[in-house]
Amino acid sequence: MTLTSRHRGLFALLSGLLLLAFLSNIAWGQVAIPLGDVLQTIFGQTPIQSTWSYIILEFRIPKALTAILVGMGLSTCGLLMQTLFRNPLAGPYVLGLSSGSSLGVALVLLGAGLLPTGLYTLLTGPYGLVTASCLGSLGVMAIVLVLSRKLRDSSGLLIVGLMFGSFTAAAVSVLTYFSSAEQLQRFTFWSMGNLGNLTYTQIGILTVCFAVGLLLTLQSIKALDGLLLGENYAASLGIALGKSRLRIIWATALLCGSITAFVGPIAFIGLAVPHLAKLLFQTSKHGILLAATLLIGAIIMLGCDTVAQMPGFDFTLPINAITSLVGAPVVIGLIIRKKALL
Amino acid sequence: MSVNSLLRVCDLTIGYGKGNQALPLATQLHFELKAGQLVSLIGPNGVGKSTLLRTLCGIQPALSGSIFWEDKPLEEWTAEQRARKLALVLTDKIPKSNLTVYELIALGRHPYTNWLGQLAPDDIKAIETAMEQTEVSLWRDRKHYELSDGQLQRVLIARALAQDTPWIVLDEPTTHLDLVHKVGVFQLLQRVAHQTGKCILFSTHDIDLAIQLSDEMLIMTPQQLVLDQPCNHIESGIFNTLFTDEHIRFDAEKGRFVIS
Repeated sequence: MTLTSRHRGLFALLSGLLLLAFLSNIAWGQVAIPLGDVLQTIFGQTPIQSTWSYIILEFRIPKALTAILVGMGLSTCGLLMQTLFRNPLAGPYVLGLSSGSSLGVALVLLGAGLLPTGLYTLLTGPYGLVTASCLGSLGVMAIVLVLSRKLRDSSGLLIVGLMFGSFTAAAVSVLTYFSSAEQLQRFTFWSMGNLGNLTYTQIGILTVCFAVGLLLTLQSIKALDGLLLGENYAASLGIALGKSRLRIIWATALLCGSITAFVGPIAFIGLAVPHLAKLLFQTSKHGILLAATLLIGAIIMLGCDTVAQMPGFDFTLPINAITSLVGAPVVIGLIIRKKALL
Repeated sequence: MSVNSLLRVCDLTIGYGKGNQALPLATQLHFELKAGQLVSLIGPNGVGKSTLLRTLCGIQPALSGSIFWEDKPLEEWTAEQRARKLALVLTDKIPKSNLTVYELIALGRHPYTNWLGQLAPDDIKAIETAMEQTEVSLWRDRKHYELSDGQLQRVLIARALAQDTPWIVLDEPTTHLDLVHKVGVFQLLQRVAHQTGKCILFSTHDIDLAIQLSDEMLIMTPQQLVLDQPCNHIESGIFNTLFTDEHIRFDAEKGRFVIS
């Protein structure tokens, strides 16, 4: 891919910003750690205070890595969905994929009591939650795809997404009647969104899911470019539509499902980040857009998490509140200014 | 069958199939298209022109009969092989995106590029040639949604040319255009067909212009489908059977429709 000098400059800038966001995310928090000590710890040396080393290695680095995976994964989802539906307002959260995942997780966390014991232990393990969550988003993705062929306008599809949200909320409130207080508490914490609860094993699982999703996305780059002209043109360019569509659906469901399973539903990142990439890079080539979306997604998610942990304060805000505060105005702005492009 | 036959249609039935109830629009179609010709497809609204084009291109299945691309049945061509034989200009609206004119035309090179869609020197040459032929080079950095209908139509034709295929199908390329742009598109298509030896098949409602500029005309009425040169069509008097309205009459001497 030939890059213009503007694109090269932007990529260099974003890479620098990502490094900065990563380090500051690790340095700031309830305990502020000097940057020098952060770097020392990362490169395997012991900082002045040994508790810092513990905080950094056991808490902040896993959280920062999770933020990067979540930001990259959800933004990629958004990019894939916007092109697949040729709807600039598509995203995993607004179209209800996160709701689908929530339903899957709710069935496991709340409704597991209704299951036989063997199945219960299987489904409440780390893989069970991921599987249920992925199946949830896959189901919604399939339904949205079918409906998108009947509903040609963007707003119709968004309303369907809203309905999925309501449906999930209703199903969850029904499930609460069958669950214990402990189960309910677990689900409520999960649904608020939290980047900081993952063990290295869980990050490993998330990384594998992310890698597979990204690989499927990379294989779809040419098909995505072709789809910019609509399905008939794409087919006339030799793109196997059925296969490509299926690959994109799997990628989206895997990315959104695995991320939602581990950190809860995260709002608006998937919708907003691809548009920031399109505005900055002024291109529709998916090779460039994907790289830009990955970088910006990671930066924004790290930034949101840094704000959420409120340097100098004793408490942490829910991550979902921050991403909504950032993302919702972006979406409204896009709608009002009619600047939304594929 | 002659050597340079690009498309051959035998006993074709087109239409829509709904379960066991097939809804045929036209039956027993026979014709053959050769290289280097500009062929227009005309007929009244609803007679099945778009359906015929979609069926010939493989977008929509035929109800029965056979279509040969060169000497091989349509079903035996893979999607990738088809993309190197036939390029399309459709009436589909292009979704608003950041694609520039150049990038849009470059998408025509998809059948030849690698998995990332990277352009090789050959691809760039083909794009430049297509832009020169259609005279769109000036707008290369404009976003596609900033163009007028007439400009966009030329760009879409350039994209089809860049695809470098022996035949091109256009669905109503002159709709929504004013007379100057209609004539411009017709002349462009004629020039390309004659200079590059491509076969260009397009549907249109601009019958007067089609009579003057196309090499062959495919006339579709509810009863029949006839392929012949425009002068022969005039002699046969088929134009008078085209529309059922008694006020519209074809004047053979003037070569156009008059209202009486």
